[in-house]
Amino acid sequence: MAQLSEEDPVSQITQTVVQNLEDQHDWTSVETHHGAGQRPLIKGLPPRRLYIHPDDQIAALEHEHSTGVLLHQEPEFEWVLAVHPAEKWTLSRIASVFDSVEHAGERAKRIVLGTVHNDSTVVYYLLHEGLVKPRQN
Amino acid sequence: MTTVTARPPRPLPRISKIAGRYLVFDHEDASVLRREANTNGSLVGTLPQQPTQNMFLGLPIELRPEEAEALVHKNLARVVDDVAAHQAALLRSPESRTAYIQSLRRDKAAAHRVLAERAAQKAAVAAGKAGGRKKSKPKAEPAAASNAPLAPSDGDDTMFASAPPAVSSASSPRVADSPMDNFGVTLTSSRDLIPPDVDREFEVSDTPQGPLARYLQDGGYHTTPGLRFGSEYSVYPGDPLRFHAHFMANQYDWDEEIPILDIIEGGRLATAVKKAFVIAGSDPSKGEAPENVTAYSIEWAGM
Repeated sequence: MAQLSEEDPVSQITQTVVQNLEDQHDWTSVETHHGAGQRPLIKGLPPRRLYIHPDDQIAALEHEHSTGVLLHQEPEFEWVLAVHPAEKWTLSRIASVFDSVEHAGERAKRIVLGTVHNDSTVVYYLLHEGLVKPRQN
Repeated sequence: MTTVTARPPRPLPRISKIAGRYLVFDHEDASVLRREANTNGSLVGTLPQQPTQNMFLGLPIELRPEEAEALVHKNLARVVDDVAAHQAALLRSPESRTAYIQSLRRDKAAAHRVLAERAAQKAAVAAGKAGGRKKSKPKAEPAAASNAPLAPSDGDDTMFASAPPAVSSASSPRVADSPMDNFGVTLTSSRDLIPPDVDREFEVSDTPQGPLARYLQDGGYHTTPGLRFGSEYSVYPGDPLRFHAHFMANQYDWDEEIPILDIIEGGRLATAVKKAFVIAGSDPSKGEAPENVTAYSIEWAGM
């Protein structure tokens, strides 16, 4: 950790989240993207689909019920923003993060907020753009 | 929004601004707002005899300022300075007072009619039951019951006076005969007092606005106060009597600082109650229109 302490806090928490994703949550192809003047974003592939919209979930269940084929199972790449609970963000900064997410076709609908506490606990929250109805947990 | 063609057009629902609060007193206005403008408001009315009542509240409904503004902005309601409008209407002319008393008489007569019908129905049912057992005197009771409520004359003037009118000495046996004589109408609205032109004169246009309230109104969402879940609004996908809330929402300025811990707290709590936590605001450089409101929904990622 000695070598990390010389870096700035943002890259430290980003590094912590990368390690947590790889080691605890078995994400693969994890890489850090540094946009110009933006916060670094982590791109990675979770072992399972991280998020299914509740409407898609209902459709998938119906489809499975009638055909026996599972839908929406393949994992998608997710974008993770590492933050610290002591930080303060604004709507404009969140909007600029969404604008900075690289995309080939469709714009990213969500990012994952990875919050690192000083005791190295990491909690993950989905941050959807727009009003997205909650999943029935 | 559904348009009802069968009924004659109603004036826009009237929101009374009284002491900085936005209230709807008319039950028809309240139901129009609920049905057609996805605005339910909060019932805040108590019984006059029970001013400390805090459950089972009734009319009026109170709207938050930004909710009222969102309705006015979409031309779904109007806000009137109620105190000024009442003063102007009352001071205008003696005829307006007379017309108002006439309208109260009409209301009272209508209430009498309804009660008389109901009493007659009850009596008929009771007579039917009695007649089932014993067919000797089927008609005496309903006749007496249905006559009694019709007895009070139209000239009955006890609307304002708590004391009985001039015929007090003669009327006391009559009171004993029929409780309808002391029957008072509890007014829920003073709609008939204020003529439309006076009402228009005192319309209020400087209601403070909230981009999130406009955005939710525009999107067809219902809202209730969010205190229960620690936010500004609880947001429902339809009428709160039919749906659970989907979101707990807070409005922020575009450059207002939001502690990350607040986002985590909101997301954690919302997920625990099967909702999503919403933070929203509008970018001032894009204008105030609802489509320029940016909202983010936060829920636990499940990992």
